Amino acid sequence: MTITISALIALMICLYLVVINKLKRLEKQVTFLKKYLKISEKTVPSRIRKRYIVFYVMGNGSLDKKIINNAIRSTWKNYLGELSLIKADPQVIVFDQKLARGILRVAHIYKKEAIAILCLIRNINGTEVLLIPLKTTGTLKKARKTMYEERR
Amino acid sequence: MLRGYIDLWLKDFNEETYKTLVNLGYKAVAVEDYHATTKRLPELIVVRKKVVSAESRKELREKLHGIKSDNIIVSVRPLGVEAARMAAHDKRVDTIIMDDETLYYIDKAQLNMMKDFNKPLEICVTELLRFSPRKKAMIYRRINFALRRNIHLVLVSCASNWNQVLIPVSTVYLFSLLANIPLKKALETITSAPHAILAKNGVKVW
Repeated sequence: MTITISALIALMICLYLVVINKLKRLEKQVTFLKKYLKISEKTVPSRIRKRYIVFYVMGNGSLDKKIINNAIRSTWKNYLGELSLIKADPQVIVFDQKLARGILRVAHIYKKEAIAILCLIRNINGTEVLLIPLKTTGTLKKARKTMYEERR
Repeated sequence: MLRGYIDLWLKDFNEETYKTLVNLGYKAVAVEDYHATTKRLPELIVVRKKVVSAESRKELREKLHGIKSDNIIVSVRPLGVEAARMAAHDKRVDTIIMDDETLYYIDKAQLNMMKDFNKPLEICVTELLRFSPRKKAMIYRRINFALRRNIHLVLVSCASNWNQVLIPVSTVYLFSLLANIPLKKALETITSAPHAILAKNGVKVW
């Protein structure tokens, strides 16, 4: 009787070990697959990083920061929608009237859209203009440096 | 290696447009009904372009007669199926224009034929932005089909004023977003695709 009980216990332990081993293997495979497919289980949204686009205004009229900002935002809303505008939040943060250059700040995931939008603006308050993107940077310091140094 | 941009359709060309083009990095442009066949200005090559609109095969044949002796680039706006099919296999035709009137004749069969005869599709960006959302959607579907079939696309400005000229970097980003294609492929629409057309017609840009 005792022999059979001990044999049963041994069998149970063996089974348990086998199952545990298999589960571990499965877990390894799943983690490998997740890495391979780049599946992340993040539920928290990633940090909003910024991009600074240095642009040049080609045109004859005198324009200020606010007017250009409004033109960019209205064009953005018209073509890409309000939801995208909220997420991207494009803002002209610096504009030098003498150089006719400015810096547009935008969320990093909307960098492409911001550059694309610039070519859609051809007229601001009856003034014929062209907004030409010069460079995209990750810091305001570098953007300012580009704005004042780069000549084109 | 990027050497410059090419715009294959300007409606008007003046001093201001020239300055803007040079400033933006253009190396060659095709101007509609320009006074010289080919003119090499400092930093820019200007060639003459002719845009032909035709409804039928007969009309197109008449209009294309002797056209290559005066013009470098010949583009066709097909206003009928017959004209569209003929333009696709005619060697004198360099590009076929797709706009709000001609998009009805640029169907699957037409695009397949254009692929067989290696004929590029020309799209005017300035006019495209003026169309209604419905027509924009129709053009988008055709662009998508053309890209899937590896048909060469050429983006042009149709600029009649200096501020209508395409800004190369922005246009590439815009087209990349619109067609959902990589930037490199979008860049080809204003660089290598028009360059190949000019090279085929004996204009050496770079």
